[in-house]
Amino acid sequence: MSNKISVRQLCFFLAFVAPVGKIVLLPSRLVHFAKNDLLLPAALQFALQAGIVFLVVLLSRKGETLYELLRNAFGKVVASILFVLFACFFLFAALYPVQEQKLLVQSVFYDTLPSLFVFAPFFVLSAYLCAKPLFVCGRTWDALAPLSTVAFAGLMILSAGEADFGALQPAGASGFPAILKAFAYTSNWFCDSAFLLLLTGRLEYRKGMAWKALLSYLAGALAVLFFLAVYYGIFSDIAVRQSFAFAKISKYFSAVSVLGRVDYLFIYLLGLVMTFYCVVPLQASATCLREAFGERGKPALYSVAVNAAVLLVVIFTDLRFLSFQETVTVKLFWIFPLFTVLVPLLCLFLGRSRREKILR
Amino acid sequence: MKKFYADAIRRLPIRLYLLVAAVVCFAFFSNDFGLVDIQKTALILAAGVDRTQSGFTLTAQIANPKGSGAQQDNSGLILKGSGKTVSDCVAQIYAETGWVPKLIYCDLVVLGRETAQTDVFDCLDFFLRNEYMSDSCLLALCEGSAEELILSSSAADDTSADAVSKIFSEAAEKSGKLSKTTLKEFSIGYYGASQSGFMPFLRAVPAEETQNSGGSSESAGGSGGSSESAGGASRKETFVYLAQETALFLRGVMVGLLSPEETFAYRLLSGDVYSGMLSVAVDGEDLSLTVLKNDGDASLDMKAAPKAKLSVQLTVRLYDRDKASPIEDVALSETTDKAQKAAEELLSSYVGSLWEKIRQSQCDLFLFRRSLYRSSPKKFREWDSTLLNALRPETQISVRGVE
Amino acid sequence: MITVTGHLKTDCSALKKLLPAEDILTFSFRADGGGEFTVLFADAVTDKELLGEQVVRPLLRYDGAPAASEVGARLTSPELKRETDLNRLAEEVLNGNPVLLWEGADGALVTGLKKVYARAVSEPPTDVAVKGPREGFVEDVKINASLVRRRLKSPDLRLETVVIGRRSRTTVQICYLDGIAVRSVAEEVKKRLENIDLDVVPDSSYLSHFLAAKPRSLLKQVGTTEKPDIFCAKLAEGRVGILADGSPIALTVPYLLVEDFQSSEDYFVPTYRATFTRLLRVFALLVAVYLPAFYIAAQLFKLQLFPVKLLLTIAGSIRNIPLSPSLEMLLVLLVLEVLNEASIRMPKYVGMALSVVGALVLGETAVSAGFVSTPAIIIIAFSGIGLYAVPNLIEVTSVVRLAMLLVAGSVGTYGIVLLTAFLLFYLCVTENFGTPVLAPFSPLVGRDLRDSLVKYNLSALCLRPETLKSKNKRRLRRVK
Repeated sequence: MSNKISVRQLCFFLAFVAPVGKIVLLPSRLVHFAKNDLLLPAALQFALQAGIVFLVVLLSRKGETLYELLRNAFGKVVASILFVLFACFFLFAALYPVQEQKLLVQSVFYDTLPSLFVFAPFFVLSAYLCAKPLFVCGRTWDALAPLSTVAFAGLMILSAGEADFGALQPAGASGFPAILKAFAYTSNWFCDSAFLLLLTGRLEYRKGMAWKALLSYLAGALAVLFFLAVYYGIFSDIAVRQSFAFAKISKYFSAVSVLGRVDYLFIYLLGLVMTFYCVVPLQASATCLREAFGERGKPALYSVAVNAAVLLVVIFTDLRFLSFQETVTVKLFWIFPLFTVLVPLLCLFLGRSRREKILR
Repeated sequence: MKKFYADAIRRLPIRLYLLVAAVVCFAFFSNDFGLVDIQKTALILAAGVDRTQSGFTLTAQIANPKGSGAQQDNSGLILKGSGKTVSDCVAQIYAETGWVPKLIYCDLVVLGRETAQTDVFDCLDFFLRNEYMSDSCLLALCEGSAEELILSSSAADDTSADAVSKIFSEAAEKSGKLSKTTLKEFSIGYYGASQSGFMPFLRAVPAEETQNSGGSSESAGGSGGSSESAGGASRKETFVYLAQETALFLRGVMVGLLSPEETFAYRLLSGDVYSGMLSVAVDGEDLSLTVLKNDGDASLDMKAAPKAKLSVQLTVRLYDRDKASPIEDVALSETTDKAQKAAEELLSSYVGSLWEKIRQSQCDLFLFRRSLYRSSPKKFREWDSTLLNALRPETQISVRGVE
Repeated sequence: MITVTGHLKTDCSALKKLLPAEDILTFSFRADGGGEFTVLFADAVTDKELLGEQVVRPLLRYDGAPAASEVGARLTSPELKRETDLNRLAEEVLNGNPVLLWEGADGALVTGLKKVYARAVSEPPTDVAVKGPREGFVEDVKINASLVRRRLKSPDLRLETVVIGRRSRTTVQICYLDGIAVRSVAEEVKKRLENIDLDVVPDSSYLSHFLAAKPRSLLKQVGTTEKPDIFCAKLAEGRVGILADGSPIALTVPYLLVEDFQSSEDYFVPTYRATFTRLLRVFALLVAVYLPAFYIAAQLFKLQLFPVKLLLTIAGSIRNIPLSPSLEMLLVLLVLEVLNEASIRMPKYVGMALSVVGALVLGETAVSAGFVSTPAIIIIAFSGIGLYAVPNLIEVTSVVRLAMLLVAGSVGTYGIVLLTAFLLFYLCVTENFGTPVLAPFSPLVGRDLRDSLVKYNLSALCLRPETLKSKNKRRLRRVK
């Protein structure tokens, strides 16, 4: 088994897997801040992240992992400390998607509010996945890409006809501060570049890979923006109330009333893809710990530790979601750009200094 | 000792698999994690809400499946609950019957006339808030109380809810005889810039035929929380349901009622009529024209003085006369210029009457305020409260026969 | 090593010591020239008529030198081998090949006079094709090898023999096309087979356990077939085949999951039909695995999955059923599995009665008695039929179906999604002999998709599957 992620697999992740995590609670959250201007902050976030993704993929030209880069630059101890910090960040970044997944499950997979027990198996699966090396994700992305495409296209076909795109007008009506707020307070949904940073050195670098990654990310971004437009076109002034957007937009299709909720097939397929996407930051966190502490512990140990920590948070915040959301997305929003924008940019300099070192 | 631990770790995955399997089996056989399965569920197909002195009453028509051997019959059970909020009503039904009311299949919410005296979202809030209810359910306002309507016996169907659902069919909507709305559409209107909406206005009219054939069940009203269902072949008054009128709402309060003619005009202006009928009198002869094509539009023009451009362009065919006709006329079914002119005049009067109702009620039925907001928020702020009064209607009606 | 001494009595007694069994017989005779000969053979597995014709009769008038080459020249048997090691001679006797010893010999002669008891080559019951070859492998490895050789008359076809089983001494042949199969895979297969230290190998399925990278895995990791045409097609794609004596089931590695959705008939029918049937198999399998689970999950946790009219019908059917929906479904599923198991093992004439009992007594009566509902029986019946659309995967899919049912009954639809995610991930990471089981879907190999769940025209399949990493890539040269 090749222990590298291929160009295709990376592109599949960016175009087909990563966008899926942005269609659950993000749409209603964007509407909460920016109302009908929800496309603007989302587009800004995508543009920023696309640039970072491009640069991070360029960084993997060196063929060294992030840990190796840090170790070469600062020594083993500092690299390990930084990786523990990274692990903490990914753990923090995983909290919201996991909560999102839990709420989605409670709302979409059941007719009545189920007990927390039904969500517990997620952590069993997650622990299993996190114990595996990061590069095996590549193959999963290969398998998930067609599922994601079929499900997303299916939902869009069922729902796009219902949308009144005029609802997106007037552009900019919510004002610049509101758009800026929406941009800032939705940063937690845009962590892809930080995850890619961890894939540095694990990518099978080929010429033009960065461009391909950029285009794939933009393709995924376009799909999300189209989804957001359809979503707002369907719900317009009540969009803010419509959480779990992707599970709701297709029910108005006329055939659904005759055949029953056939759209659930697509919704569950997206749920499947989302499960894998939700595990990504947890996998990243476990990997960081593994690299920071070397081979002193079994991979399963880090995996169990990371998942147990998130499980505890989920139990603790079970009935405190709104304050949890406020804390993660508003009060502590600055943590995300720190790790998804600033740190990747700093790592670029790290790469350059090393190159200079070699040249010297 | 070291070997023992190594061996234990080696076997750990298998033990974990076994543990997971054991937990799953336990969960499977114990089979209760607060789940509400099909046997414990009351599937609400239609709900009627009335405002009372102390709050609300909810009358729910629930699905009543028969055993596999019996003939399928969805008639039957009606559950009632009352409380300060609609949610209290649902809770009361649960408490008094033991069945868990589920709204996932609720396709119709009928509001009693009283509920529309104040903001209807006092009661619709529950349905909009409920994560487990579809907002694609139809809304209707009824004459009198919703409870009476739900409890009334249909002359044409098993239950009143079924009968009402049928008159809200797509075919009926295309005929232009009624205008239907869903919870989602009504909510968008309510929370949007127009703050307006409409609902079909339901009337239960006693049917001439009151003999109820045996076998179907009947229900009668009762006190809160009771569950009633009866079968038998008693003589009881049956009803047919009409929804040709349309109730107009502004900020959730009913502000006007469109007559069947005005409703038809509204549907024509919305451009959704494909097989409607139009009756005109020409030279003392009554003619029926069928609408083959309808290009209706109601748009806002703010270039100079605010104008509402209302246009209806119909392509019609002669469908019937009240007198015998030569066979050539029957074969061609052409409409004469006179008939077309008469139809145009008739429609102009309908549209005029409709516009007057809108102006009086201030219900922004054509969502002009929303259009203005979308095109120019600045002008919207300027005209928001006075727009409908300031608008001058510019009507353009054209009726053409098939060539 | 004990070698032949040339002293007839000593050699005979040494061999008899090695082969004390009663069915090991000796036949001694004196030639006209005075030479003494003894033949040792295993009674039931040696062709005694040929022994008399090709060995004894030509030697009766022999008066030449005792050198093996000279004695051998007199024999009319086409398969002769000189051997000096007594242990190897004992092995040959057990294999059915008589050993000829004589006074003053410089080695013994092994004659290939093994008596072959084999059933006729017939169509395998597990892989019936309406169109296409009807031959199937039998229990004799030599016949099986001949069936392969008849189809691949190429010098590149390699048949390497390994003897496995301390007591059974089962002949196992590793088949591959030199230059097409990856050499390292063939070597790895040989290494893994040679490392097997088992006393008896009754069937090739024993070997598949040792060939699998993860023997405890739920998934199948070695391909199987009973048809020589399929076997040869797989060798031509670059796989390595394994034929075991005593087993009509041939093994092939590396195994891809997609293989089991393909049938030999797909290559004898138009491509659109082949594609349709392959997709139909996938659909049938998905329905078989997921339908009972979703039915249960929908009833217990998510009623909305049913259209309202269907829900009312179901609700009416299950109204008086004493069991919970999940237990009811489990019961019906277990009954189906028991019936299935019994019908395979039972004699044919009892099978008919069993069908009546299963269909009428258990099905009809259970419904009318109110033990189970009609929808449950319909769903399990549909699932049962669907499972047989892909017969090679039944062992796996029936377990997965049961697991899905248990998860659906305990956690609901989310459980089904999670278990699917687990299976998908497991499939993605599983590989055998360096080839991912889920290829060409994961990792995605675009070109190989042409003969996966869809099938292109033969002209579009010029190259061998990229997944199998064959050095010789082209199998069809385009006609200019």
